[in-house]
Amino acid sequence: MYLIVGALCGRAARALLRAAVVVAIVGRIAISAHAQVVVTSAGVEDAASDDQANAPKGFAVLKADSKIVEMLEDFKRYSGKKSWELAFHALSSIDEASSPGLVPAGDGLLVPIRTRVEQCLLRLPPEGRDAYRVFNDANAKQLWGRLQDARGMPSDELETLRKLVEHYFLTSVGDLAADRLGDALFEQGDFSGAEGMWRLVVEKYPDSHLSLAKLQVKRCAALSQLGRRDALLTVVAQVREKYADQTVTIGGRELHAAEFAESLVPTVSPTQPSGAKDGEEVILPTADEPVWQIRIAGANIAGMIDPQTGMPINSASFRAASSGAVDEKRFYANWLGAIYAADLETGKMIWRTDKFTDAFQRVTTSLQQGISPEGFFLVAAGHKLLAGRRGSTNLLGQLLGGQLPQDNSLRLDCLDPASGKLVWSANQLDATIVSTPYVVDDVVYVAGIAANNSTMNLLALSLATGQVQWRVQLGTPQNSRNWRGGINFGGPNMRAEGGVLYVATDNGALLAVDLASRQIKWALQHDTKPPTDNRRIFWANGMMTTATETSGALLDEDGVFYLKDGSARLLYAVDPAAPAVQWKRPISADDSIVAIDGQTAYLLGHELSALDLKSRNLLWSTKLSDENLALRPLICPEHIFVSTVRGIFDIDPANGDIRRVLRGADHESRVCQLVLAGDRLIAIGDAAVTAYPIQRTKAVKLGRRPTK
Amino acid sequence: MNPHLRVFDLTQSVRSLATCIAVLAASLMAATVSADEGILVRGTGSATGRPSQIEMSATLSGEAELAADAMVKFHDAKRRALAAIAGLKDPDLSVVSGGVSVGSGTDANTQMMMMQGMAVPNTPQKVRLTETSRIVLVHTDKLEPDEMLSKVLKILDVAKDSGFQIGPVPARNYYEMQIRAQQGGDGSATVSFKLPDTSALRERAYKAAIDDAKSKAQRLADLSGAKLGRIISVHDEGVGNSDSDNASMVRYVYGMRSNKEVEDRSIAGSNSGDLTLGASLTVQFEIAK
Repeated sequence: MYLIVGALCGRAARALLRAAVVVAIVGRIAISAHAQVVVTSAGVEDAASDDQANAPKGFAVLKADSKIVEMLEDFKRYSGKKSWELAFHALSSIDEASSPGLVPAGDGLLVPIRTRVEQCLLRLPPEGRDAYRVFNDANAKQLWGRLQDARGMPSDELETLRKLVEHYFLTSVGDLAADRLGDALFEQGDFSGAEGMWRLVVEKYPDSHLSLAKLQVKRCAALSQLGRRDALLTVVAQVREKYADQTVTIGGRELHAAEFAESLVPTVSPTQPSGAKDGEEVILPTADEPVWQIRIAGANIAGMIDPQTGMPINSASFRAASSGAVDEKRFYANWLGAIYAADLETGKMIWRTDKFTDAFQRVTTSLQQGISPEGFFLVAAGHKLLAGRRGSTNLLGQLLGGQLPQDNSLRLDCLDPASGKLVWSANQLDATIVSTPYVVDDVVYVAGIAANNSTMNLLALSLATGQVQWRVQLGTPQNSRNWRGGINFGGPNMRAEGGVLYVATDNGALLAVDLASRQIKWALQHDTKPPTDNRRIFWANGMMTTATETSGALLDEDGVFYLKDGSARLLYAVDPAAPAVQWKRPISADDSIVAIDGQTAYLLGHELSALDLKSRNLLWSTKLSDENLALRPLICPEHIFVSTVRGIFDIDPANGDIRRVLRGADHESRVCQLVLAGDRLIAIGDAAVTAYPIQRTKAVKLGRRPTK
Repeated sequence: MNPHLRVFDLTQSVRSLATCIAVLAASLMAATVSADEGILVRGTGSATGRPSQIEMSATLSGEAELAADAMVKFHDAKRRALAAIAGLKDPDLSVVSGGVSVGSGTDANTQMMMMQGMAVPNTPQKVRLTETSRIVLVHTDKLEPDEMLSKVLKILDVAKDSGFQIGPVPARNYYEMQIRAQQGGDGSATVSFKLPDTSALRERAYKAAIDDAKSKAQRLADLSGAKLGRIISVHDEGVGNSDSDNASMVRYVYGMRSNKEVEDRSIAGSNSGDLTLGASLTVQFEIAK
């Protein structure tokens, strides 16, 4: 009996044991599987966060409060559920005034809150738009009625029209307001704004009763005035396709839509280079003899020891090239703050602001205080010279408004080109200037790093007096200091078009600033150079200075901006009107986009390369000297001139072949800039400025270059 | 089988084996004894000849993030460079390709940061196409020195203008520079003066080395009061250098090839003067009885 019980117990125990083993095995698999899932998902998250962590960190734009973003998200959520009252209530709760800043709009774009709200409304489905009209038509019609009833042009017509478009575009009168606003802007000469309004109605207003053919034809007129040929051809093609048989009334005349649109397309003409006239070809001299040459104590710099590194100075660590400007009779240059004027024909110096005998001291001071040589800019504008230089640091100079010796900032001075006398000095900016001045309509725009909070500001100064008219904060740059402790100069580039100033920070952001409202219209955050450590790089008891970085670029062609930050790897094509990124393409971080001629962009690094902007293929590439000096080539009909350490190369733009090399008369310095002035080609180097005689002849053949 | 017969067979085998071992030992002893006898000397000789060929190492490269861009850069550079050399219209001038390599370009700063253990920025690798060729000018022994120099400088100018990188590629970091320094002068000169066919020189050098060995051995024999016999063995010690251990290791890490080619019977120098080929032989003479 006991044996039986024992046997039964033994069997049970064995069965229990087997079950336990099975459970343990299965459980282990489950645990392992769960662990794998956790690891996998954690791995994926880690990879994503790694990508985020490794993404280039650049310019930080001022962003709106996160609550605003949440309200926008609420709107999207309620819209999805078709709870229109709650959705519109969420939008109306947004207080733009309490939260200055931009909100994300996708694809790196940031826009003002109002713009984002408009975008959200434009994306409403039909029932949403109907609901929107129920809530807002009454107010909109009231405003529209005031404009209709007023006699003549009301004083606040533009303001009212803008309000109708910005706040009530989707109402039943929104398209009418936008069309009328477009007409008003066109009459004022704001063709870009006008085209934008008509495009808004065509593309975004779903059920307009306005004649779309007329709107498109008016767009063609605006685009023709803007010179945006490619966009014009696109719209003309649309008119030809959709409205071929329609007639429109413009200026009291009845016109055939397609024919009139086609008549607005200008004939093709080659892009004129700087300094070359219509149909002229520039021929380099055959001999190396210059017409004149000004030597700038370059010999003093050769062999100098860098006080910070203890190594001999080379072109990678310091480059003292002059900035130059020309007018009809004179050549002007700024060499480390010593500004002079020379006669274009003879090279004879007419005036100068400082002696060159203190070159050694200038270079040493610049190196010790980390002043970028590019900060010694020179811009000719409106019969004035704008120069970057240090203020007087002697005691008398300090008493008269100079600067302290330890102050390493450069100031913006305005000089009279005839005499070199100081007209005004902008020395109360409370900011360190980091961009070359950009002059539009007698206003000088510069970017500066604020002294108190290291933000980048756009400052507008009067060209006549140098007084600051207004300033707007753009955001916070990253790594704005160089490894010598000074602030980097030369990053931001500017372009003005249609009342908007576009600022490429060379730090990962392109900002559009409306010059009338002095507000940021939109910002695009994009790829930039990897964050660099400000430490010097050591190797085996010696020091190695970092290689010269390429400069950032913002160029425009046919209404499209081409943007690349210095030492970044992506070239962007941006439509500023949309705004939207049309395409982006990797190119070498060593390359900088230096010029655009028609549909061809020229990239300069270790090679000069030609990139077709339509196909985005590299057409050709020509190897130059080993040193990357981030030069700017001179584009002329049938010729591209690039200055290298081996001379001035004459390159065929059709295929990149080297026609010839002008060795020149300046073998000691590195020529950094070529300027065409009259019948002189001026090569500006860090040891000399040399003028060569050129011939201007009728070009044998002109026109578009063949593409592959 | 008869056990007694088995024992007999075994004994026979053992005897045969012992006999073989004894013979072998005797031969070895004889050989050992031979190596210690005689006179062992080292003879050296040299012969000079005028370089008949000039070579310049010329590198072409194309580097870009996109492979298609790298191809365009490389092909354009090669087309232009070869056309420029051909444009000199010199029948004695040619470009000998060393083949194309495809690699990933890394900039010098990033390499140094890695060497120093610093955190490097996460940048995409580039595609780099490189072709190292030799620009060869033959029959230079028939040129006057000034004429040769003028020709070489003209070729250098044209090659550099057209995009060739003349001479060895610059060191990208301190460690590469160290290896180059340890390798000495070979491969570091921009222009190399060469004598490709050294057969005649070798003959003369060997003859001089044998004669030198004979005279040394004779002298020793005379001093020893012995009579010099026949030559028993000759060992050619050759010439050349080998990498240090450190250089070998770093070359392995970088995947760099040694500059020395196998079976290279040419000699080269960095100046246009006569080239010297040396030979070193270890010769063993028998002492005649």
